[in-house]
Amino acid sequence: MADVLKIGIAEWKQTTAPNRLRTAGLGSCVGVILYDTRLQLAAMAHVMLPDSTIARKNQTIEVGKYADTAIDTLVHSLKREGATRLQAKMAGGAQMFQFKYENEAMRIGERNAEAIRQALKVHRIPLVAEDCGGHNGRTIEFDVATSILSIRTVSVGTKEL
Amino acid sequence: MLSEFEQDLLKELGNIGSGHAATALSAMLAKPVNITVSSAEMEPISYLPDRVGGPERHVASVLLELDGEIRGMILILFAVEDAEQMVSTLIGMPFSFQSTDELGISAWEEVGNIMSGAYARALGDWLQTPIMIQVPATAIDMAGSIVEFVVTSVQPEEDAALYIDTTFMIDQKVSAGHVLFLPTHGSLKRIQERLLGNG
Repeated sequence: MADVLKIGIAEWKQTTAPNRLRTAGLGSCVGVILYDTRLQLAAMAHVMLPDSTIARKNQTIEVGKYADTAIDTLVHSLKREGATRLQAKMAGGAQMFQFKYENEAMRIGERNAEAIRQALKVHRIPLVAEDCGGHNGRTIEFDVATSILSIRTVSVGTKEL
Repeated sequence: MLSEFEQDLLKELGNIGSGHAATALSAMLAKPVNITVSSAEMEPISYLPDRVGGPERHVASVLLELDGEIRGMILILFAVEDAEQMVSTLIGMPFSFQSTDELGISAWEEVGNIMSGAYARALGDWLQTPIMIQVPATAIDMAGSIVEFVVTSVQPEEDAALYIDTTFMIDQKVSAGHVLFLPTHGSLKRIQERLLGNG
């Protein structure tokens, strides 16, 4: 029996085929998946913010919340299971509202996606496909067996990466 | 999360805001408008998508930034069908968000303006500081995506939002609206101090 593992905001989970990984209602957050096709192994994080250094001192850091700590954690966890050839896909990072005067905080989606691209570069993991930006919320589901990422939006429908 | 006393106080604030909003909407529509508050809560942000019908619920929303001594954002959410029905009543003809009907969209944003202005006034009066609101922006999308965007834009490290459930009755038609107030860290602290009587 295949399960669909649901990942909430700032969470991350890892699984093997035939299971799938799913996160609903991505806005400015980015859903990122690292996977190893040979081992049929994958992990997904629902990243909320680009950089863990903004977290307050003495606060327990939720590793899935920040791009830098999420990628580090995913890489570490997958390698512990024997992953050697990791690849990545990601989606999200939308600008849900369009204001006349935008401040830096509202570009967070774009910054999240860029932070993940940088972190992947550091770990030398190829980003195979991405669907980022725009003004639509997304629900994504990753099929570990096929490495296909389905992306559903309210206004554009469903597409696959 | 809140004591019964604090909940009652927030509910009362919600009632005052709803009263202001109903009066203003009624004047705009030239129709009787009644808004009642069914609940008021301060909740962890992670609960919010479920409170508005789940992360994938298709909703219509208006977002306004607050300015002044109290900073943050007010987000007004309705189920898309309810929002369309309300706008149709407002403009006196059928309306859908899929059309690019400018009259309808601006009527919708006006609802957002009036409502958030009313709640901001109630909150400002209680805190004894004027709260200004900026121009509204609209999004019609998944509830989870909208709430998440607002939360990260306001104050990433903050964990609580003020949440008011309302029931609208315009022209005998009933719709449910959600008002979310997301204060920045400093502003939330000030509200909590006032709640505890130290403000």
